[in-house]
Amino acid sequence: MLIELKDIKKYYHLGDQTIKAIDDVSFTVEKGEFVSIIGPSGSGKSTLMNILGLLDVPDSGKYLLDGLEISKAKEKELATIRNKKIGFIFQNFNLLGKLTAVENIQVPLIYNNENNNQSKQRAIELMKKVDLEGRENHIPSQLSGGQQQRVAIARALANQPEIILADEPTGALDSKTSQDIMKLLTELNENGQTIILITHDMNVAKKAKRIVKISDGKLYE
Amino acid sequence: MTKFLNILKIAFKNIFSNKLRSILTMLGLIIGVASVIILVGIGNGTQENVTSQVKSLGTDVLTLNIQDNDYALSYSDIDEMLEINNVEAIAPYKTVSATVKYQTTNSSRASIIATTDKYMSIMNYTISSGRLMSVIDLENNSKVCLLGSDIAEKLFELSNPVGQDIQINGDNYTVIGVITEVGSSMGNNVDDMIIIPYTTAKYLGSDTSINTAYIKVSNEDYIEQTTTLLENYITNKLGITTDYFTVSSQDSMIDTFTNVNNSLSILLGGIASISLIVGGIGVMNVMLVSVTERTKEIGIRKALGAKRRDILLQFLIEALVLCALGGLIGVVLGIGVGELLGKMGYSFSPSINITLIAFLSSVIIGIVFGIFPANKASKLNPIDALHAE
Ligand SMILES: Nc1ncnc2c1ncn2[C@@H]1O[C@H](COP(=O)(O)OP(=O)(O)OP(=O)(O)O)[C@@H](O)[C@H]1O
Ligand SMILES: [Mg+2]
Repeated sequence: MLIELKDIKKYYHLGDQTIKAIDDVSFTVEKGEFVSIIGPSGSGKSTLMNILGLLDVPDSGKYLLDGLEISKAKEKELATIRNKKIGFIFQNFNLLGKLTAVENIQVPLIYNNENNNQSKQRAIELMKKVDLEGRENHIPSQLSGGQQQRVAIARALANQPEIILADEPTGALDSKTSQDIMKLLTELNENGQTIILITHDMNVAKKAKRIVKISDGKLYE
Repeated sequence: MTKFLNILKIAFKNIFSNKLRSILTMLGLIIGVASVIILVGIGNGTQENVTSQVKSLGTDVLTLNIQDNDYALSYSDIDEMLEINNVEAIAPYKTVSATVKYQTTNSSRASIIATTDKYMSIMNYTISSGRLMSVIDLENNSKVCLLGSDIAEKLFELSNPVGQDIQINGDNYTVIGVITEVGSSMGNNVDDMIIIPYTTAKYLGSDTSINTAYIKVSNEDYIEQTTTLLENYITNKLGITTDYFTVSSQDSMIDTFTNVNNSLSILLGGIASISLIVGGIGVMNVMLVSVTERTKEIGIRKALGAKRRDILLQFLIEALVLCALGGLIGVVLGIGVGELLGKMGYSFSPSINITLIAFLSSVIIGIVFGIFPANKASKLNPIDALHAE
């Protein structure tokens, strides 16, 4: 079991109102799975994703990632896990605007103590893998949305993470580009990559082997 | 190592992509470092200059100075003072301001030194042509003068001044000799001097009372003893305490000057250091703005696996590079401007220690004022940072 969530809760308190963003969620993911989580806006998808990606901490519950209990890990260990075991793909790409495509892909490699030549070599390979040869030295503002998302996917793959977490990766793209990106993710999964994908678009969700529904912070298989 | 080089690269990238802001940020430090170097350099230069010039007078010369204008020695007291043990020679000294003119040259103001025949030997001055002042010149109140090499050249150009008459306040004075070039001393150009007999000064509206005199001591080892004897003599003679006059050796003059110069250097250095600190606050301010502007970047980096230390180092090194760069520019500017001032006639002698200290201070300021913003950045919660825009 790669991921195991047990009774995870995340509530937000706004004045005297309590928003149950994640309400008693238990959920497991095996190695090699391609899971999509689908739900309407405000249902708690991003909150769940941020907890899975160690960017946010739940109020209560247990989270085991690759056998390690996350609530017991120190800040430094969390950073290492984010770096090595998790690859993030965001709806708005979140590339670093001043860095070139290759330099963006190098970022997680350098935080993993790889030297410049090695990491550059690997970044160039990854650019090929996501079909962006020739765009190595372009900065994000010189790339289209679809191209930026490919760079982001390449970056997510850089340290060969156990799991890819994609939060609405096609949310900012047109349908043709979305299909390309989904094709890329499907290929990755066929080669054994575990992927959890969040979307509110059923057409996108259907590309995954397993679909989980979320509404009002609760999961339904 | 790669991480570190990468951090350095990012730091330079950020500094150079925001050139104007970076330069404005560094300005306080640049000015601070440059002014420390310039001010201390000029202090040093002046010190060296004065020391060497005072030393060139010889350490066996005492300077008598009666500060209170109500008291003065009379010309005849010199004979009595010559009786004092180890006193070898005495030259009273007075300066009178007057206009000087030779034939058709424009008249100009000059400071005329009125003294005796002993002055030249006490000061170790020699003549390049003509003759020295004689006792007879003094007895006869002769209207004769010795010219410094510069003023001789100014008035006579290439012709020989000896035997010619110049006009001092309209009166004719015969040039009896020209003094060998000396160079400037204590900020005065000695080669501009005109020396006349002490007794002759009465024609220029000055009496023969003595307020200042140079005294040569026959044996350097007895300089303190002789000082005391002279002080006693004057105290008895004029009925005044040493609050009203000084008898000082060249060494004690150097000491006094050094003290004044040091406290001045400390004061100026202090003011310059304040500008360094103000510069540091400027750096902190800009770094805080930078952290706020780049919160999203911090969030992204944390999502990609940056540790707290990585973020801390990134911002700290950026502040450090900014300050080191500012310090470096300050050093170059300070030495450059100092050398320029040196060419303009100020004495400038840069101190390697102070230059190093000023540069290191700006680096330390980078660390001290960079650590707070950097720490703030490193402690940002990844999810909050990612949501910033
Ligand atoms: N920091 C926060 N403070 C207060 N409430 C929050 C915060 N973050 C999320 N919420 C609330 O938690 C609920 C779940 O939000 P979440 O962002 O997970 O939804 P989502 O499913 O990702 O929606 P969308 O499809 O629009 O992205 C929402 O009601 C939201 O308003
Ligand atoms: Mg969302």
